[in-house]
Amino acid sequence: MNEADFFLSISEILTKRLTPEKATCREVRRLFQHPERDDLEIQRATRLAVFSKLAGVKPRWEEVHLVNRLFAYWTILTGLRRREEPWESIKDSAWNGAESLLFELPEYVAKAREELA
Amino acid sequence: MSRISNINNSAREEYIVSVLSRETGLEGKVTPDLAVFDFLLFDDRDYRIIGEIKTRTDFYQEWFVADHKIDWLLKANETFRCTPWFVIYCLEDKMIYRLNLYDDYEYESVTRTNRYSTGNQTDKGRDIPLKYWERIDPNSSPNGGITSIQIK
Repeated sequence: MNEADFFLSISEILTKRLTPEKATCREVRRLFQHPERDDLEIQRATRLAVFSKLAGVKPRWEEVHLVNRLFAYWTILTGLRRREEPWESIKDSAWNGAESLLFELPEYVAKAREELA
Repeated sequence: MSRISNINNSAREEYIVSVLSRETGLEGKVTPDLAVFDFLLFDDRDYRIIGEIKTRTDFYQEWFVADHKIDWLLKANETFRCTPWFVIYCLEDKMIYRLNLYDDYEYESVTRTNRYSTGNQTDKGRDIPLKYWERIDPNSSPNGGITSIQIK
């Protein structure tokens, strides 16, 4: 997936619910079918992202496939966008986690942060 | 009946988490002061347990847990799929009492006043009888025992 596709996917998740049926962007729909996509791994990546800074541990992202990191990132963004608990109380950790998940693409996280501010 | 009488003490929290860490075989970490929960237990692959610690000066037959603490931990664990623990450290008997909030337990709904609050702080919550809590004796844990250095 190139950066343009990735940006489309981010935009998608900021305006739609995180389901393949609602995903009008082909790139997002394609990611839902990705062979490496794994719900348990997405949950684990979400935990690693949000809790690692609190625990003072550096996540080993090289062990987590990019597709699962993307879904974990979207999980966090969707939670932050709803402005509900548990996300409201851990906003800083969540944004730290989002930045950590997409360490290769900090500009996308910055843009999302700007949009949700 | 249990009163709200939490005394914040980060050295004590470190000690309690170290006991929980030994008990579970997991690494433990106390979260920074303003974090919404108090500790994490984890291994090199994942975060397993998040929880709240309260210190009570006196021993009671039930422990008070504020609804807002339970609500947040349960809500967080719907999202993060960790195990939510509530932990009481009792200064009177020097024991740790641990409740897994996913376990079945009975309780009485109550409102409590914080006797250490300068205002008139009250909390709605639950009195949860002692029988539902796992009692951990820090002195029986490997390398356990409270010292004056560990608890200031």
